[in-house]
Amino acid sequence: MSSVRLEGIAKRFGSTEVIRGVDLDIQSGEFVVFVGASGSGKSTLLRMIAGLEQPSEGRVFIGDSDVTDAPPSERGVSMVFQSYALYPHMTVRENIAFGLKLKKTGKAAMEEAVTRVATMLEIEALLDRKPGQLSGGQRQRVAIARAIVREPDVFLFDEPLSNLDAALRTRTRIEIKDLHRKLAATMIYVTHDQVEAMSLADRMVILNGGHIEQVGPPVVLYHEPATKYVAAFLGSPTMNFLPPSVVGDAGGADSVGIRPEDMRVADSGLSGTIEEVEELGETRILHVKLEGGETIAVRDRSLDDPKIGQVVSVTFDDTAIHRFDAKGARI
Amino acid sequence: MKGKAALKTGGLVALWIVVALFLLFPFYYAVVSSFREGSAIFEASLWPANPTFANYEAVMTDQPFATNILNSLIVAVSVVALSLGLATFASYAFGRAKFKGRRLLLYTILGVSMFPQVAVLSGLFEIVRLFGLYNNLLSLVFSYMIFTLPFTVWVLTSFMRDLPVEIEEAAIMDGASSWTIVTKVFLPLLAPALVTTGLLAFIAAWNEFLFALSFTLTNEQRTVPVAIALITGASQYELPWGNIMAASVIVTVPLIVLVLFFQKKLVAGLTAGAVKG
Repeated sequence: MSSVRLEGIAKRFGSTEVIRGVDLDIQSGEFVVFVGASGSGKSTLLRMIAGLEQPSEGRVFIGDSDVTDAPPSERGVSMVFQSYALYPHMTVRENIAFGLKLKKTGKAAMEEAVTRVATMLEIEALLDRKPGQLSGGQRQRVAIARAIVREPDVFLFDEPLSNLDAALRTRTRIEIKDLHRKLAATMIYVTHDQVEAMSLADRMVILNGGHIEQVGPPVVLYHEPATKYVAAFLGSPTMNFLPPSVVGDAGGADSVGIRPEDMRVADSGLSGTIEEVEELGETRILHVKLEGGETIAVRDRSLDDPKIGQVVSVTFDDTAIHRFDAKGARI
Repeated sequence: MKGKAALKTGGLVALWIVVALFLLFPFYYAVVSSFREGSAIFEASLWPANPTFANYEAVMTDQPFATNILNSLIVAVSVVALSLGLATFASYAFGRAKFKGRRLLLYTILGVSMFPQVAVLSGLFEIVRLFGLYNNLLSLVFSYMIFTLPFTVWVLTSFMRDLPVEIEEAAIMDGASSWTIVTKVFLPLLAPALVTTGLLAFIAAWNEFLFALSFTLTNEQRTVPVAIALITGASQYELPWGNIMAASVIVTVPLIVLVLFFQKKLVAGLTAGAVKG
């Protein structure tokens, strides 16, 4: 268990700047999720912590030691890859034990460690199989087992669930959360899935174009987004952005945002025409074209039978308004 | 419809038979001739009237043919081992590491194999003399790598490039050195490619004639292709076809056995890497 600290990290590939000036403090035992669109630099940042990529500028600290120039194996980190990256010619047992073997661990200790993690991940029955004979979910467990067995200070996950189907993904997500509690280890997790990020994270790091937009607990980021980008990134459907003229007290804002669930159909308010109706079972999303020309999403199931083309009024509470200035910063 | 399908299958089978006959008949005739003695060898029949092993006995007793086979074996095995060993590490560098001049170096290696053997013969001869390797099997091992290394490096490089990067990175995270990655992780994954290229290198070395003829002097240092070519009859006007055929059969059999033995891996190697699987 270790803290991780990034100081002024920048990364350039040729003349392309992928990461610029990233400072980040991760507490020991914390679950931090890097989230961002593709190309935001989240994977590169993770790979620099792993040591698979060398930062162009800045220092990486794990615990108290500066590991910027240390090879991956000496950083006390282990990583779970998106494609699992199991050794295809080795059995599950050999896969898990490979790292220990390279560290010249004794046979008895090795056997005991493999059995322990295999039991933890419920893969004892698979130990003598090869990766080719396993399902995607089983391979994922083996990959996690291989990461755990070395008892690292920091776990790194690079989109580990993106190759699984939706049902399995939700289940494995809970298991990873559970695992974090059991091991009480520092975990850094990269994903582009905001639901995954919000469900797992103690703190989320939202990356955009190589810099950090905002860091904080998921609830804070959701309810108090520091920038318009964060506000738009989190939540589905995305936040509605409207000109400041639609609210009474704009407070000098350049634009205002209201989340779909904070809007409702009422007798008076902004008037518009229903363009599309999404029936999702537990909720219903109305896409309404306002008279001003903007299309907004409204999460509301109070209407009995909304029709496309129907004219409705939409309203919201003043407390639900997010105000942003011309640069996109929260006011 | 059924008749049409049967006709199609029949046609295909007939075609296969023709192709097989065309490919195998010369070898079949060599085998048949090797069992004939004296003037019987000039009979144009498909089956020896009085099969005899006399030719085989003559080949083994008239000259040090067993030594020649052993020489060939030593040379071919050494060439395969050295080529595969060097090519594996070269291909790791070419396929994985990024360095300046990689492309140039790769094409230079390919360029080496483009010259006809006879063009490099005199130069090689000087080198062989310089190292004092004339009439020594080492000269053959050394010179054969001129043509085995380029294709082993090229084939293995393309295989190496197709191995997933994440597996290598996983091994790095596990604390593996480059040496361990190549030997413990990549080598087993490259096995089909190694078998294929190794076999091709073996066949090339086993059958090579020109260098073997030029760099050896005595019968005891010769490899089989040269030994067979230099088999002489009772007089200079007689070509002992029977002996030559017997010798040819003896040296071809090991190749056939090798190919059959590695058949499964060979097919996997020839097709693997062609399609991303």
